[in-house]
Amino acid sequence: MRQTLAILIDSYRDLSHRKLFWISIVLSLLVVLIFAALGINEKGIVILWFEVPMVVNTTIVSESLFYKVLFANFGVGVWLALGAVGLAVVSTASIMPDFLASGTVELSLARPIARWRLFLTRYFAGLLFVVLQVTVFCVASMLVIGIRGKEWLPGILLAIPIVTLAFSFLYSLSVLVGTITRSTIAAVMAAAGLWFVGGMLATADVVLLRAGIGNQIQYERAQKDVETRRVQLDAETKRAGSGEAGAKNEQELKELKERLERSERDAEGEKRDLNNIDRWHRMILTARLVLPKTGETLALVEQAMISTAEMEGLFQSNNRDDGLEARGRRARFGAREQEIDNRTRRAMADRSLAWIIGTSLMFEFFCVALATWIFSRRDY
Amino acid sequence: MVCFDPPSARRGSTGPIGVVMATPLPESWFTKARTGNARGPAALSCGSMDAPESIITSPAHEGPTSATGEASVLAPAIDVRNVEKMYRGKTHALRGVSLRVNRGEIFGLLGPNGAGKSTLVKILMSVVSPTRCEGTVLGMPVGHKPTFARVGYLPEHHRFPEYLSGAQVLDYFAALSNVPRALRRERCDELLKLVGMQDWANVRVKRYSKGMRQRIGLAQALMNDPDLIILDEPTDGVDPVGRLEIRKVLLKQKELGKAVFVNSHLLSELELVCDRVAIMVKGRVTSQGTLDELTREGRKHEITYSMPEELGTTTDEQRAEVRARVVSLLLEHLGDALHPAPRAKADQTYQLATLNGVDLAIAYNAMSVHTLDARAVQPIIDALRKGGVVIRSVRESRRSLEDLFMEAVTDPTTGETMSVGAGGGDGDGGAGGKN
Repeated sequence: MRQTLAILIDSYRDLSHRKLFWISIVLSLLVVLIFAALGINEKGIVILWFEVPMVVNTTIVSESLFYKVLFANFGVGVWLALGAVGLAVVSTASIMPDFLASGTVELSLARPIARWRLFLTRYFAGLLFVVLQVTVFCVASMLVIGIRGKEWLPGILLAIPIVTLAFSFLYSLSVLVGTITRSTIAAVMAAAGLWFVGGMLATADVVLLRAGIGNQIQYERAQKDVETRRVQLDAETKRAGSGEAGAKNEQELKELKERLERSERDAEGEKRDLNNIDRWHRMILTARLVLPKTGETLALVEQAMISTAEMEGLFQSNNRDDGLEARGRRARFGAREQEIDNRTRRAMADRSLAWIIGTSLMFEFFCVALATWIFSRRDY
Repeated sequence: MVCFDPPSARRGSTGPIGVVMATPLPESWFTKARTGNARGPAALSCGSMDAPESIITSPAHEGPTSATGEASVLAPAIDVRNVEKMYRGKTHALRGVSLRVNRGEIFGLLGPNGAGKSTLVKILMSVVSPTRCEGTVLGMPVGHKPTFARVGYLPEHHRFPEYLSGAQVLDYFAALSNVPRALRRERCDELLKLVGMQDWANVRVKRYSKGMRQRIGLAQALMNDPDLIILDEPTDGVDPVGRLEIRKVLLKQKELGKAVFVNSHLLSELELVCDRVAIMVKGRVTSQGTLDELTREGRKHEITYSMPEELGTTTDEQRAEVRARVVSLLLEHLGDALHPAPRAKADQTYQLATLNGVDLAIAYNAMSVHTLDARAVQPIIDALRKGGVVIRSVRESRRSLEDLFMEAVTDPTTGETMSVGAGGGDGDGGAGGKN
């Protein structure tokens, strides 16, 4: 315990002497100040003491939901997910290379502490950067939102473990590469590369999921069309066979048959496209399976803070009272998009915690275990 | 001081009593005369791995005991055998090193760059894993982690985290050695004072000079009140006053019964404090023992003189002629007791001889008599004086650590200093073989 505490204190001293640490804290507090400046009332948004009449007001969104969305989407989704994590990746990349530098590592290795324990303690101590950053941000946000908006949202504190967890996925690769190469630049590149590749794959995943859902809807419609035409053709053929009055003649039946065949070809085409998209999507999902899901993990903050009912209410409120013309346009062009949105959201929400966090933790475990093994066996 | 012409004479040496000696006659001459064969550095080896009697009465036994039991208290501080290290199957850094460091003594490890000294130290501290290693550190197997709580270590080229102050460095590394907080505070103040850094305690290490870093390094190595202190180049970058202080600290630790293992290039430093030394060359310990044991072979009397009449000594021929006159004078006055060597090499500067079993090397203006028995020197002086030779000086001399070291690293066949480090895939050298 004494050794663990010593390493934690030393890690804090290490972090606190880095300029990026304080820059990050200052930026976090600036973001909190923005929260402090924003409010909502029955007329619209309030910036400092100025009212800005807007569609978004307390008749549509409750004050609590407004702050939750503000925190989850802007605070976590933008600042923590991009700014703070980015700064943390850069700032923490040198922790292991510095620790492993010749002349430094010997001083720690020649102590009555097992190498694996020394390394793992150092590893977890490295996460202090993000823990401290996010804690400062969340506590300050909670206080500001509570005082300014009279809404006390302890759920904000959930962001501390979730953001730390999301960062730890990137940090684990940074540590592995830093341990192997003892190079800060290589560690930064690896973590940034993983972040970029992970982000690209996540985007490709969503795009292909949407495309697949869109295609599925098209295919369902085409099948429905085939079914309708087949029923119509069967009925008309029966009527023509029975010599019923008003029955279609030969030519008209032929046209109906051709329409049915065209619909079947369309359905086949949709099916082929769907299979194609599915194949690509499966490949992307397989690649994502072994990589950490930073984005989805961070999105858990929103899921934890805002209930499904609140979220759906928010979407519905966005779609009302915006005029007859808009409703007509949506009826014509937006119904399909709306359907795709809904299904995509449901599909994403259906992804289990085991898939999001479980597989990411396996990636982290692999990286840390390999780095620990290398550290424990290497000659310095 | 009388100047000699032979090249080897240029390497004057300083004995332990601080007398500057013009004693250039190399030991190898006498060795050759006795054995008829060239002897390499290995011939210096004292070879004994047995603990001297002193271990039984070592002050260490009065020192602090440990949780590892009486057996480890009685055991030598370091007792390793057949230590081998092959880096990635290519570089043979250590080739069966065996050495023993007793408690209550200061042990010096010498060797040229890349000899494997730091690799050996790192193996002892489990920083490097050995390919093969038998033996113990403080009575426990090498690499036994809990034992490191009783070992203080200062690595070569150490780099303390620059964001820490001197006091924080001591506190952090002592905490890693499991020293309780109250004790850390107490020892931190004491040790900062001991190494003269109390005024810099709260200044960040990045502002320290190299010498100050060494002082803090020494203090951190003592924070856990270790039974064994391993210092790799402790006086590197330290000014003379600092070196003196460090020597005092080491001697104090010795008095307290601690074992001190010093790895250094500074032979004069080691000579001043070490009880025993080992010389390592190309991954092997070529000699090991007390300074007295190692320098015993080279003890001798040096006589310098000049001929009564002015004789030319400019050319080799002239010098050979003068030397021959000295030898004939000795033969004339000492008679059959003197046995000159049958034949000297053409380029040889010395005439070798024996007098009543004592080796002599006779030059045109100086003579080495390989004995410390002053009585054996008297007949020679008498003979020279009878022949009218003017005696200019008679002094005792012994080999210095530097002489020992240079002999160890000199190739006996070529007379050239061995190259640094491993020298190829099958060579040695810790530095070259690191991952």
